[in-house]
Amino acid sequence: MSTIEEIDPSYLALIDSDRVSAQTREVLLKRLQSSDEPGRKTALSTEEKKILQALAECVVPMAGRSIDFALSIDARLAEGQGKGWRYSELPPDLTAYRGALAAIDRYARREFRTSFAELPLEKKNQTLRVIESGEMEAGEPDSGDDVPSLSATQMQRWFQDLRGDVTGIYMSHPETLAQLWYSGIADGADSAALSGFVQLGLGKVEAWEPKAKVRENES
Amino acid sequence: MNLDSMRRYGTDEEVDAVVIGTGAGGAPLLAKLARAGLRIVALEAGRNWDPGRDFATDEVAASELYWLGERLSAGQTPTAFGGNNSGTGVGGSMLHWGAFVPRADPRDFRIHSELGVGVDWPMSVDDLRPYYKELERFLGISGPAFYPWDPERKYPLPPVPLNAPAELMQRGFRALGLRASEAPVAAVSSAYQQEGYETRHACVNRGYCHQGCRNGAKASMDVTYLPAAVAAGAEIRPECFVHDFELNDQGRVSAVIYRHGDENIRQRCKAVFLCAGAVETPRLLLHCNGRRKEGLANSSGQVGRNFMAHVATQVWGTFAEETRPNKGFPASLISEDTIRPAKADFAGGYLTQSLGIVPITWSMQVARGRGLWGKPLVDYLQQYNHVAGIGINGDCLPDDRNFLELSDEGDALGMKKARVHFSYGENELRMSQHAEDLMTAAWKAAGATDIWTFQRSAHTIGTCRMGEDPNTNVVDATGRSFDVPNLWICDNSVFPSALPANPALTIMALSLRTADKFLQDGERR
Repeated sequence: MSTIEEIDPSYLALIDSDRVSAQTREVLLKRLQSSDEPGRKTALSTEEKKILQALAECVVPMAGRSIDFALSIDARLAEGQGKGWRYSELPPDLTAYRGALAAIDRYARREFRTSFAELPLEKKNQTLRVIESGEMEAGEPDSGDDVPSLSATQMQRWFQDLRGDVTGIYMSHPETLAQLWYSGIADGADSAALSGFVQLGLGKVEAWEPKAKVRENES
Repeated sequence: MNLDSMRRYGTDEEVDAVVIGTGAGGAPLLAKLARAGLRIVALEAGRNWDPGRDFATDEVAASELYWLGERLSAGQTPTAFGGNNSGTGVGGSMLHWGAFVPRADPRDFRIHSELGVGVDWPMSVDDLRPYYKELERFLGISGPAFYPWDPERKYPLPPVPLNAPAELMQRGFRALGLRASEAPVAAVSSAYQQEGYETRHACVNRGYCHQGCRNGAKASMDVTYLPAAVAAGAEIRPECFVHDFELNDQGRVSAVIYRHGDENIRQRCKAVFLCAGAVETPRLLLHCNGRRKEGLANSSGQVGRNFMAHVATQVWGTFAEETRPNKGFPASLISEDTIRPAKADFAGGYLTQSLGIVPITWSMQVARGRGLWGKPLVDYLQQYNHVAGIGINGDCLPDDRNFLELSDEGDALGMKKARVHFSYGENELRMSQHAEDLMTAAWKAAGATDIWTFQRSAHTIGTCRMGEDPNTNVVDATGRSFDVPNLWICDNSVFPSALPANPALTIMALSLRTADKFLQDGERR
């Protein structure tokens, strides 16, 4: 987990400044410090969370930092709160997640003789490419297992949901916003007549707005 | 909004009308009927907000404004609900509405007569024009002094400033020989004295319209029609979810049953306006099948049919200069040159708009729609401050394959979840391709690199169609049910065809018109 100390101090100063409203600051700082609460309802087993975290780190690889994606997704699944819709061809979110995690691990054990979480990165990515192309035939679960199997097409759909969930968690994390030096949080504090933004248009920046992160990957 | 001193009615009192939903369909007629002296109660499923205090400038926190009761999305091009198009709270989806307010083009009301596809509306633009004008004045619409596609139109306030995506679209469209203009926008470009309310502050270009406006600049219902309604004696009850109706021997609704906390409450009434949107409106009617197996107000079998969503294809690109796409009103430029575009191999058309966007929404579109993951995803997300989008809102034809039904899955109250089938037909597929080609050309001309297309559909439309024939429509041209004479429907569910224009302005126009028709004769029947 990242901590306050790891955030760019100038971005932390922005969060603390009177350009950011109290409720926005509260939301951002809470997200930054999020850790598991004792007694919280949980939906996934420790083993399932391990597979999920490994998958999430393939979707959003981060050098030198990490976010506890599994905790965040588990909390949502335990609450039973979705995004307001789901693909009709998928079972409810928790059932879909459990079925997919089991299928992926079964596939890894069959193909590579080891659990998904223990695979080297290249083999993990290879597994994800199989899901993405709609070709994951994971086989039926062991007898006695309560998790329904997902078809290859369902796995492909679910992988889209996973990408969305993980990426949303990544992008909303204050450390990611700090890396971008995202200015949108600083819309002008608590008065009704907000200061907002004046310098709009191509290449224009506010006096207080630092230059955005230099692009490292010209396309 | 402040509800402290509003008038209150007893649940045993037979009020003149109950309005279900406080969004674009419910709010304008609530105000109009209250001003006409009617005793009227609005029931809103969501909670009441104080935007300045409650709304964080944060996309995750804003999910409190989205309708998160789950819908099942089926078909070949399943459409997204939740934050994409459905809201909750006093003010309805208008709380996170994009506030883009073009009028519908006159030709689109007559698409069957003109092009032989879809259906005509049971009215012409002349019926709606006076309401469009009234709305633009009342809401304080910002727009250009000269609107190229309707030179007679006058907006009360000057346009909001163009942001970077708008400047780029201007550049790209100029290169293609197409016209573009500052968009008509329901955010006030200068302080505006709201009739019957307070002064609304000018838009400060936060770019968070879809996450809730914090300073009243955006013409959400909670700073426009709802305060006017409350001032005129309407009561608004938040956190009240309607799940049943009582009918009398004449087949009229005599009471509405709603859930508030753990209680079921019965409100007696003389008339009902159902304004819950194109998913919850038909869902409620299909659920209430006490007397008729096919559901309430559904002798035509048309409740839930003809679900439509706009073709809302977007093209994104990366630019050398900073775009900071979070800044400014997100869609500040429009072109209507594509309402009947050149070289079209499809019927109807689309409008084109520039797109700013906030980062989490954008990142999830990239992950889901561009299909990136791993290092290519993270590398691309780093480009956020240099991207800009351009997108369309395209007409959608009614299609037998596209409908809403009740699934077998219940929600927390035991009401069946809606399943919505939606597949683009040949017309929508061709339109999307045409738009992709045009927007890609515009973005190349504007200097974009790394251009990609995001396929999406937007808005929920249809499912309780209005028309002249009771056998093929749910409500008549005034919004009144053919089967239940004191039940009126007013929201996007009554649209016979999608119209390329964003729906909110037209829904509000229908709302004012339905109120007038009710006051003229409906009330006494």
